[in-house]
Amino acid sequence: MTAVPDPIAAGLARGWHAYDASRLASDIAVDTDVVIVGTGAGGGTAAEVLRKRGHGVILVEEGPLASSSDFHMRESEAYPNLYQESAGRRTADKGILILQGRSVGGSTTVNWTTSLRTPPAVLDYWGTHFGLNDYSEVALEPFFAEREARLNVRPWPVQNENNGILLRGARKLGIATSVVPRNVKGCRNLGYCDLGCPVNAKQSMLVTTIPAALDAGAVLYSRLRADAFVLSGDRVTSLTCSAIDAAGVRLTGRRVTIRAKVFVAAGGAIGSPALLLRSGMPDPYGVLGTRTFLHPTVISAAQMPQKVDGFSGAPQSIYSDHFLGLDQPDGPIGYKLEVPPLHPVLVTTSTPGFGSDHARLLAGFDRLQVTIALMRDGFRPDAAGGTVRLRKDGSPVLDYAITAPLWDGMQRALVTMAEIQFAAGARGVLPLHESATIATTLAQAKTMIGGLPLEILRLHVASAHVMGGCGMGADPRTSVVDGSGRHHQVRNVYAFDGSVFPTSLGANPQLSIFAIVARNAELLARELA
Amino acid sequence: MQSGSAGLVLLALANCGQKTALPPIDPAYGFTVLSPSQQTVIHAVASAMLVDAFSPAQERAGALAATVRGVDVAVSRLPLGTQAEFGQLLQLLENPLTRWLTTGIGSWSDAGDTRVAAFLDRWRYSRFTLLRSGYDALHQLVMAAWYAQPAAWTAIRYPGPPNIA
Repeated sequence: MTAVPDPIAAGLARGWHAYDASRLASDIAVDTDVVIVGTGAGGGTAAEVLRKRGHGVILVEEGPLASSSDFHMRESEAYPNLYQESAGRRTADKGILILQGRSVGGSTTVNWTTSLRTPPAVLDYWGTHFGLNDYSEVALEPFFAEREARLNVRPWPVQNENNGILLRGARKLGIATSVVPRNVKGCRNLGYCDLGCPVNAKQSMLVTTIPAALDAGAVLYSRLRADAFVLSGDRVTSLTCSAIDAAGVRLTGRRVTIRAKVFVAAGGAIGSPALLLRSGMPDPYGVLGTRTFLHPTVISAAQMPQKVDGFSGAPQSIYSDHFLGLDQPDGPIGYKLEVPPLHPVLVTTSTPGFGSDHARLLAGFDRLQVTIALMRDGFRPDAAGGTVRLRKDGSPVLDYAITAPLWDGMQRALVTMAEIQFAAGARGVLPLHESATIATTLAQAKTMIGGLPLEILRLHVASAHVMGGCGMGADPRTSVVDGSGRHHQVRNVYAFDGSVFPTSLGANPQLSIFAIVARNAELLARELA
Repeated sequence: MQSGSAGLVLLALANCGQKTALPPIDPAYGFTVLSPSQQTVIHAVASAMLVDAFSPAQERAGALAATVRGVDVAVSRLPLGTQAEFGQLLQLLENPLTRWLTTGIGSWSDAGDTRVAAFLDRWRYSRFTLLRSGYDALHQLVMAAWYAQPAAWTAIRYPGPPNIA
């Protein structure tokens, strides 16, 4: 039995400056050039770039430093260890379930490897509406290409049955689909990307940029929560942090203070706005935390006559932008179609109901196909996203109200998914809504969907893509940072993560974050030189 | 002094240069969050929610006990604010008056699966988002606690994670 080599264990053995703050016995104060809060798509990318240019880097991560030897493909372990709030984070009114990572590598450690460029129409929209003239398709091409090469992004040539059903159903209806490019190397097609890749095939930040930065001498503190930037006049002089216990629940009482020249917020959407809010950063136009987007997602389950085994095989290999509606971005809200991995806890907690009905449905778990539809929010004034607020204890909560155009899009998406699933041979289709029943014909499904009350905590809505809150833009009245990620008012603070997106992307965010942060971190590195 | 403070930093870090020890999930350690009265509530809810979830060979009492322990472990890993919220929800269900007002149930031990299922349905379809979210929280915790366990997987034909050796 050959154990999978653990690159993190190997790095630690080589002498990485990687410290578990939960074990700190006393408060400490340290100095560096650049402190980066967060080790996800943005933080990892920035750390490697800056360290390569010779700048001192300290990374602060509130999650644990976990690695392949810890990834046992068990939901009972992965959700509490690798996700924000044990994969149970919700919006303020509880209407939307939010999945975000919390560990070294951030959401890239638990995402489903889909690596898509920002749609050109979205970049155009940013140019027109947010003055981001440097963000054209042509200008970003070299950054996308370089990141795709760095992370081995390639189209995945096979489909598990869960994806195959989306492909075949769509094809039958003349709906165009595309192949998902994935950031994997040596992928064994296991299907457990969302619980931490156990074979280090997924080219997440955990196994690429973070090890590179650490090999080059960067310093990492894990289980350390960034509390606030300390302002002195119009600059930040230090970052105060609190150590968290090994379980990731309680503060240990130990504090870390980091002095630096430059401070990078890379805690992701929700996390970065929260940090800036706790810091009392100047926000003269009240935009900080606003325009936070979710790609609100609705779900349709189908009972197939054949085995699907949706827990097995690369989770995402087919998607459709047929209904994304980017030809008219501010028109009716469009949606992207994809499928998720199907693991027991994820499926049984999402499936409405309990008792005999629930058990009967779940007895057919191996024949379930699930399709998801992600709403493209942020392109109309009546779908302008949510606002991040702070609770009394300083923790963040996203206030996101689902508005009429979003309900409308979700209802249309449920019909589309039922059409595709029946076209692919489904015997029954169940939209995930507390009042839904299994429809055995398309006509039945359409009637039922038309009558479902469109309310929170009835229609199941989830999000795996949180974007915005520290939006980029040329105009400080409508943005928090400029096109290079630099804060408009406090000039030694940067946002290098998905919180900078001025709208949602209509695409899974990681590659957009990689490319934009690679660009902006390079600009910062040159400025610091 | 530079070297002095650096020395202090080094001492403080001396014990930290290892990976985070991720906490064990084995519930044999005993309850850390749920009081006996709260365990009774969760047991009654799980019993009604998991009617027919167990395969014939499974010992029901043991499976339910494992589910209640699983809920305890899961809650212990939630943010403290969320743990407090859940505590308030359970308080509603433990207090005889608020329990009777919101669920119609007098005592958990006398209730039985049918009466508990009726209250769960009442909350599930309630016009009050507070009760709908209370139902959702219980549903999420109970289903996660049972179906995370390998013992649950035969009934749903899930073979477990692959062997990657």
